[in-house]
Amino acid sequence: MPPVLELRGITKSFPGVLANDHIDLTLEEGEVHALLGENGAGKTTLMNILYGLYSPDEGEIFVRGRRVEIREPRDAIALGIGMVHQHFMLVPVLTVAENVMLGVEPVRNGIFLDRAAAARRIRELSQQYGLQVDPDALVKTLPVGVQQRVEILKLLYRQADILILDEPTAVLTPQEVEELFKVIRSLTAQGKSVIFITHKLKEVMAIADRITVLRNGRVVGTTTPSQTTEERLAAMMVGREVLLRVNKKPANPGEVVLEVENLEVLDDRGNPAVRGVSFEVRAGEILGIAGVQGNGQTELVQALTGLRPILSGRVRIMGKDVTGTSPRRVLEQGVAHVPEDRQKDGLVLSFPVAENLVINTYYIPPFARAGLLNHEVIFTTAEQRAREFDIRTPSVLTPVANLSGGNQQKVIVAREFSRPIQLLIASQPTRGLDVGSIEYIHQRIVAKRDEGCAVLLVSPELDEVMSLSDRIAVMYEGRIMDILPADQATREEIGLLMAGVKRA
Amino acid sequence: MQERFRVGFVTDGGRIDDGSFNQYAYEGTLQAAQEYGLRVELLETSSPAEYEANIRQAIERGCNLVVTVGSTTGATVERLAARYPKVHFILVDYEPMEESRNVTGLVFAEDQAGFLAGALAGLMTEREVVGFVGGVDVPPVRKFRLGFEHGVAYTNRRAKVLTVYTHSFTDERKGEEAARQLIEQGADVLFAAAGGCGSAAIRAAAALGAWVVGSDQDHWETTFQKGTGPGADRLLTSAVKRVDRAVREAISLAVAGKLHGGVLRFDLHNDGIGLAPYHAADVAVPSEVRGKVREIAEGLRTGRIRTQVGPRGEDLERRLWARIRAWNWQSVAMIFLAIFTALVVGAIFIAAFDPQVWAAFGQGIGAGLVAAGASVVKAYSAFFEGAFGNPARILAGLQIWLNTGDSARLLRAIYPLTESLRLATPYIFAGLAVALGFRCGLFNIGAEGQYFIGGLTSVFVGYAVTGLPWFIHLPLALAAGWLGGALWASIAGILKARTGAHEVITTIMLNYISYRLADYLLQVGGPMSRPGDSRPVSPEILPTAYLPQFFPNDPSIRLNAGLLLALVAVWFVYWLLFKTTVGFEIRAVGANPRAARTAGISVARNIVLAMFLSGGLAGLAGAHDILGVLRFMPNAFFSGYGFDSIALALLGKSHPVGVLLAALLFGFLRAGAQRMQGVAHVPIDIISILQALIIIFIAAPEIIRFIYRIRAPKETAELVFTRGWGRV
Repeated sequence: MPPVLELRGITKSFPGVLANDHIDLTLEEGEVHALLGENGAGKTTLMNILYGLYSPDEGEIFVRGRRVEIREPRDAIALGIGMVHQHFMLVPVLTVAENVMLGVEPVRNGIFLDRAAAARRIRELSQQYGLQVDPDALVKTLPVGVQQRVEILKLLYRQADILILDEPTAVLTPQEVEELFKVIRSLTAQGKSVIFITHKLKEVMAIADRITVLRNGRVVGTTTPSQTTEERLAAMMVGREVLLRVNKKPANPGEVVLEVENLEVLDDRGNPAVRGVSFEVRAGEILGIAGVQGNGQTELVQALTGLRPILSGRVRIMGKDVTGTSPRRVLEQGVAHVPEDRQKDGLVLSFPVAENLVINTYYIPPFARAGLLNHEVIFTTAEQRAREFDIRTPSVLTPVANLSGGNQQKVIVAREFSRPIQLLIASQPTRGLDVGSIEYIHQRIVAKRDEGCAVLLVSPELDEVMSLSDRIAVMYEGRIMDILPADQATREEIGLLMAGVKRA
Repeated sequence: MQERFRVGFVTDGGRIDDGSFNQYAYEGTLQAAQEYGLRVELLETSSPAEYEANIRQAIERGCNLVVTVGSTTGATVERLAARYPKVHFILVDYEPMEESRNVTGLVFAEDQAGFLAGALAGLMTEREVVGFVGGVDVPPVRKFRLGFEHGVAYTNRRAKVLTVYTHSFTDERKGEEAARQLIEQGADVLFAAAGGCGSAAIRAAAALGAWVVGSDQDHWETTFQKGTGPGADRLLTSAVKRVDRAVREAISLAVAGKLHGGVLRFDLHNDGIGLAPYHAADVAVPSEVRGKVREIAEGLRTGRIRTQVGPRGEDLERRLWARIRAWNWQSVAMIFLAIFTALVVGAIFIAAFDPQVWAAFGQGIGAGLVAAGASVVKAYSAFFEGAFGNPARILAGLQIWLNTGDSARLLRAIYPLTESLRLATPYIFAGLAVALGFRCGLFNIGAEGQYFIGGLTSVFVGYAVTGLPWFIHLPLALAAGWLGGALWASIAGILKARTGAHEVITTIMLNYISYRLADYLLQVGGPMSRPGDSRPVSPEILPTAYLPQFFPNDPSIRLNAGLLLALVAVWFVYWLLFKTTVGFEIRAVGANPRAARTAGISVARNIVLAMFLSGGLAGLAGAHDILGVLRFMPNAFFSGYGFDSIALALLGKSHPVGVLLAALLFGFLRAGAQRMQGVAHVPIDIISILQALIIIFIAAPEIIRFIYRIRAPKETAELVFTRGWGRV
C-alpha cells in the first residue's frame, strides 16, 4: 500500500534563502510523524507548501500514491489535509458547533441552517476520538486545551485524515499536553495520520512514531524514538553537540534585592491581572515564575519595570521603594530587563545593531556627553559586544531587523548584561530561539547569578523554569499559588499548581 | 615634610624581570621615583588570585599611586578604583571603559609601530610574502596587525600578508608552529605580536633564515640575549612601545598635580613608540630603505600619512565601506526613477491637453505623433528655462558682466534660477517640519496652519515693534514666527501625549482655527488690519525687519537670506536627529515607541518636543514669506506649502538632505510651470499632476519595480512614517 502522503524533492527558495532543499518525507497511515527543527529550518515553509499557501519550485507531492497539485488551501482540504495553526482560528463568541461548521454549514431545504445535524455529527466525532467537547458551549468559555480540540474537530468534521499540528503544545499545561497526546493516539489508532511540528525534544520522544529532523532547509535524517536519544536529536538539529541540561552550582543567596509586597495590577482592559502577589528575590539566586501564559506574568513584569501603573502594594529594589516610578528610574537602580516580546519591546528594528545596544544607555558617558552622542564609542563598543556575545551580523551598522531571532535576542542580552546590574528580570528569554541559542542564553543567565546578580525568570516553558531556577513560584490567575525550592519540586506538582490545583 | 606620593607597583602576574611590560613599567617607575624622591612599594603577583589582594595591600601600605600593567586585569582595577577614590591608578596598555578621575590608562599607537614594521617588511621581502603572528585578538594586537597590513601595502602593493593567530600569549610551541607554517607558505619576513609566544615565533623563524621583526620591546635585548642568541642577525628591528617612558611621564604628571584620569596616548609624535635600532641587520638594510622608513615615520609623526586604524583597532577604511554599503542605494534609485516616470507620464498629459495635437491626429497618426512630440518638447523646454534660465542668455549676460561690469543682463538671465530657489526656501522649512514629525512617528498635517500662525506672529512683530535696529528687529521677527508655529503645533502634541488624540485630526482642526483666526485679525477694522485700507491686509512691516536681498540693486529678484537660513535649518535638523541624544530619543520613539518606553525614554515628552520643533520650522516658512517676499500679510495667505511639504518629506525619505533635494525639485517645478503656462500655454495644474505622480510612484514603489523590473529587496523594516489612529 502506498504511503498516505509522500513528498519528493520539494525545493523552495526565497530571495537569498533556500528554505527547502530537496526534501523527501513520507507519512504512513496511522503514524505520528514528528517534524523537528530549529526556527528557520524550513518546517513551516514545508507545511505551507503542503497546505497550498506556497507553491514549490521543484518536487512532487503524492497523496495515497496519486500525484497531486496543491494550489490553495481548498485543494489541501479536498485531499483530506488539515492544519491546526499555532494561533487558533476560532470565533470566541460562537458556540463550538457554530465554529466547527463555519464555512461548511449543513443546510436543510436549501436555505435553513441545520444546526441539529451539525451538533449530532460533532457529538459523534467527539465520542469516536475521545475529544470530550460539548458542541453547545461558547468557545470563549473553554480552556485553551479544549479550544485546541475544537480546532481538531474542525478538521475531522471536514473529513481530514492527514492532520498537521503546528507547535500544538506551546500554549498547554503539562496535563493538557498529556490529554492532547491521548487524543492524538486515539486518532492514529483509527487510521488518521498526524504530522507533529515541534522543537521540543521530550514531546517528540513521547509521541512520535518516526522523527524527521530538518536543518537549514535539508533533511538531516529520519529516525524513531527507540533508535535515538534527546541528546542525539539535539545534535542533529543544531549540527553539533549541545548541552541540554544547564550546568550550575547550588545557589548562594545573599541579601534581598527585589522585594514585592501585596502587588495588585490591572490589565489593559481594567481587570485585575495581578492579585496580591508577594515574593522576594535575593542576590545570587534565580527565582523562576512558572505558569500558563496569560496568568498575569506579563503584567507583573511590566509593573516591576515601571511600565504599568501599580494599583496597590510595594516594590522595593535594594531596599529602595520604586513603586510607581518611571521605567528609567527602575533601570537606573541596576535593573536589566529582557522583555517578553523582543521585537515589540526590546528592539527598534529599523535601528542598526550599534544603536540598539545603547538604547537605554545612550545618554550616559561615554556614549554621550552634554547631550551629544559619541558615535565613535558607540560603534567600537558595539563591535566589542558583538564579538563578546557572538552576535552574527554583517556589521554593527546593519539594521537589527535583518538579524535572525537568536541574534536579535543576543543583542538584547549583550545590552542588558553588560551594564552594571543587580537585578535581572528576564521574561521568556528564549522564546522562539533554537537549541544552540537557548543553551548560550541559559549559560549567560547562570553566570550572572553566580556573579551575585538576583534573577527573576518568567517563562511558560516549564523545562526552562525547572532547569534554571533555584526557587519556583507558580502563577495562576494573577496569584502565586506556591513557591517551591527547585530541587524538591516535581513536574506533576507544578503542573497541578499551574492549573490552579493546590494539594492540601 | 610629609610625603605626598607613595607609589605601589603591582605586577600583573609576570615577574618583575619578565623582559616585557612589567619590567619596563617598573624601570619607568624607578626613574620617576628617583627624580622626584618617591618611595616605591613592589608587589609581585605570582597567581591571578593574588592580584587583587596585592593591590589592596599596596593601598594599605599607604600607596596613593598604583602602577600596574592592565592588559588583562584592567577591569578588576577599574572596579577597585571605584572603591578607593583617593588612590590614583596608572594602567599600562589599557583603555578604561568608564571615565573616572582616578584611573589613567596609558595607550600606545601600535598601529603606527605596526605600520613602520610593515613598511620595512614590504621593502625587505623578496618573495612578496610576509607573515604576521598574533596572540589573542585584543585591541593592541589588532592595531599592530592592521597597521602592519597597511604599512606593507604602503610600500609594496604586490606583497601579500599572511596572518596566523595563536590564541595564546605564552604557548611557545604554538608560536614556533605558526612561524614554521608561515614560512612554508612562502613568507620571508615575519612580524610577531604575541608576547612570549611571539618571541618563540621569531626565534624559530630566524633559525629558518627569515627576516624577523619583534614587537613591544627591543627583542635584541630579550629574545636574542643582547645579540648573543642564535639568529640574532636575522632580527631586522622591533616595533617598540616605550612603556618606561610612558610610566615616567604619567608619574611626573601626577607629581605636578596634572593627572586627572582618562587616557594618555603615546605615539610617534611624543616618542611613545618607535622602531628599535637595526643592530646586526644594519649592514643588510639598504640605505634607500632606511631613508624611506625614516620618511614614513616623519609622515606619520606629522599626520601626513595615516595608518587608517582607529584608536581601538578598527579598520577605518573598511568601516567607511560598511557605512556606504549600509546605505539603501536602491531606494535612492527608485526616487530618480519615480521622477523620471512622472515626467514621461506628464508628457502624455501635456500632449493630450494640446488642441493642436488633436488637430494633427485628425490628419493622420504620423502627423499627430510629430505634433505631440513638438508639443512636449516645447512645453518641457519652456519648463526648463523657467526653472533654470536660458543657458545662452546666462552666458551672454556673464560675458557682459565680465567685460563691462554691468550685471543687469546677467541678473535678468538668472532670474528664473533665483525664483526657483526663492520658491524652494519655504519648501525646505516646511518639508523639514513634516520630516521631523515623521521621524517621531507623527503625521503633522498642520504645517499649513503653523505656517499661517508663523506668518501672523512675524508680521505683527515686523510692523508693531518699532525703533529697533535691524540686527535686533529681524531676529526678533524671525523668532516670533518660529515660536508662533512651535506653540501652535505643541497644542496638538500635548493633546496627543495627554489624551491620545490623533495628531492628524487635531492638526487639521487647528488649521481651520488658524485660518479663521487670521480672518478675524486681518478683517477690515480688525486688530491687525492696515488702517485706512479697504482690503483685509496687515500693515507693511518696517524695513528693519526685512530679510536682506541677495541682489539689492535688482529688486525684482526676490531671493533673500532666508535661503541661507533654510540651509542652516537643514544642517540643524540633521545634527539634532543624528548627533544628539534628543534626536536619538525622537527617532527611537518614532521607530518603536514601545521599545523606547521599555528602554526608559519618555514617549509623551518626545511627542510634545517633536511637535514643538516641527511647528517651529513650519512657522519659519511663514516668516520667510512675510519678511523676505511679501512684507505684509494678506488674508488669503494660502500657499499649499503645508500640504506639499508632506509630499516633500516622503520624497526626501524624512532625511534632512533628502528634504533639501526634494524642496529644490519642487521649487524648480513651480517656477518652471509658471513659464510653461506663459510660453507653451500648458495649464499650470500640470505641475500638480507631476507632483502627484511623483508621490504616487514613491508611495507605491511596486509600480516602479514593475515598470523597470527591479527585484524587491529582502524585507527590511521600513521607516515608520506614522502609526495607527488613536494610539500613543
